[in-house]
Amino acid sequence: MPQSKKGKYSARLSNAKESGSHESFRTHDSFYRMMVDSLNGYSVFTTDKKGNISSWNTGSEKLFGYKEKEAIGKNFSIIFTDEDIKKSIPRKELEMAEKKGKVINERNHVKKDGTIFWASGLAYPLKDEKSIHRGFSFILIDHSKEKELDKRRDDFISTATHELKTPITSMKLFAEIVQRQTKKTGTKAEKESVKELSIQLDRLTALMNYLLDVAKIQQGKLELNKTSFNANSFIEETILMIKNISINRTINFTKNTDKKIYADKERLTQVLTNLISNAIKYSATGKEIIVNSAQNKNNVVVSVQDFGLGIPKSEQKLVFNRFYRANSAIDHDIGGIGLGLYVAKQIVQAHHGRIWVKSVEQQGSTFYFSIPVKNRL
Amino acid sequence: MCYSQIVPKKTKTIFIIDDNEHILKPLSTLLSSFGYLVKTTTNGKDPKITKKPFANLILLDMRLKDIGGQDVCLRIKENKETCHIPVIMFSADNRGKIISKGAGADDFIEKPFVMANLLKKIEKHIS
Repeated sequence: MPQSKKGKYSARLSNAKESGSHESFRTHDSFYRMMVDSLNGYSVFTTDKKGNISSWNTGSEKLFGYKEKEAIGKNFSIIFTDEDIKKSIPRKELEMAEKKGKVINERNHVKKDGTIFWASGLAYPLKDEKSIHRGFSFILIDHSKEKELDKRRDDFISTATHELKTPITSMKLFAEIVQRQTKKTGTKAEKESVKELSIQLDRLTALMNYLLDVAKIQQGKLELNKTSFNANSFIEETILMIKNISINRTINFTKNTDKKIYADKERLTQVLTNLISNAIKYSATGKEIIVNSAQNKNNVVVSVQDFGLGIPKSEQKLVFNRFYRANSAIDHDIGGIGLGLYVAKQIVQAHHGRIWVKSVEQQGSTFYFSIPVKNRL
Repeated sequence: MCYSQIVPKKTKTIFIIDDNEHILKPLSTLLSSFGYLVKTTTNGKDPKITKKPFANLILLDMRLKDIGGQDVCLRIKENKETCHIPVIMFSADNRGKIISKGAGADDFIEKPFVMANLLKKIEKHIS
């Protein structure tokens, strides 16, 4: 419903009540009343400027359990949880609606009988024809089922991933036994087969870890275990670890800062590993990769530069999206599922940092991420 | 009081507590092939665990059938006969790192692990 119409409706309604006998306003009144009440499943109500309820439709009666007579005149904070009331959320919501012209929210609300449920809501300021602020209008809908489904889906991903990790552990151990055997007595083909088996198991593990991370992010459960350390130390450790696996690649590290950061070392290692692995994947074997640490104002900025395929301008922002795969990756049949940079972005943002890319097609890409230096936190 | 005991044996013994045979078997085979003596149990309430210093190191799964791995670890660490034995816990959940620390474990490794990494941790604590 457009805002202006609601504004007019409210103003007319109040005028009609004031004059008391105007037929056309009464028609309006009953017409809108009918319309608002027919929005079954939606709670629609209005309040004055202080949040005292002035109209309450049938949907509100059903959703919250208060009859119209009970609700009118009460402050709309009756539908908020004690926790939210303590945090002055009802007042803040009115302030935001007035300031921004609209508030969209999802939160727990309370019914008359005390039941708490998840609802999505909209709040608008009500203005009359002269743009005088008269109060607020609200539309709410019960979304507890959707919320429950979301939760179940995320729980399922977590549980399934954990349940899958145990058999993978078992397979990896058995593969290792066979690998040790074939090292001594196996043929070349057998050795290669076992090696491939190990590589595929590692891929499966990495994939599961990403899915688990995504589930955690969706649930808002990405926990950071922060400690204080020199930014260069984790960069050096990460490069060393990658060099052990990718023996043929040249990775050069230039240090331009030695600042300490307060961060989750394992998570940042994960981000850097992802960026370097991408640099390796998207550039030819002979090309070097340059890692750099620098300071920019209150941030340590880490960059990873490759001289590979590059990313077209139109795709540069999209690469951080969940499940996004660059066209070049698909064209060149480069493996991946489109979660690495998404997870990296979430980790960096959880540290109040930023991640971005500069790239020229066929020349290469530089990925940057910034983490606030320790003294700022 | 914790007796710091050194078992006078050339071969070091590793005790694995895991209710999953599919982990227990290959892990035992591998550790044996690396020269360790391996004992195992699938029962977290096995009375052997806290009776006497029965191993040089314990590998303990976080999730056991009847009892939480962290409770087993606490029992080991609260017993003066066994408190000196290093315990490495493992779990598919990386939150296990914090939980195991709280239970007094000496180290933690996330499943699935690379054998080389587990061996490094074992060598670090067993010496």
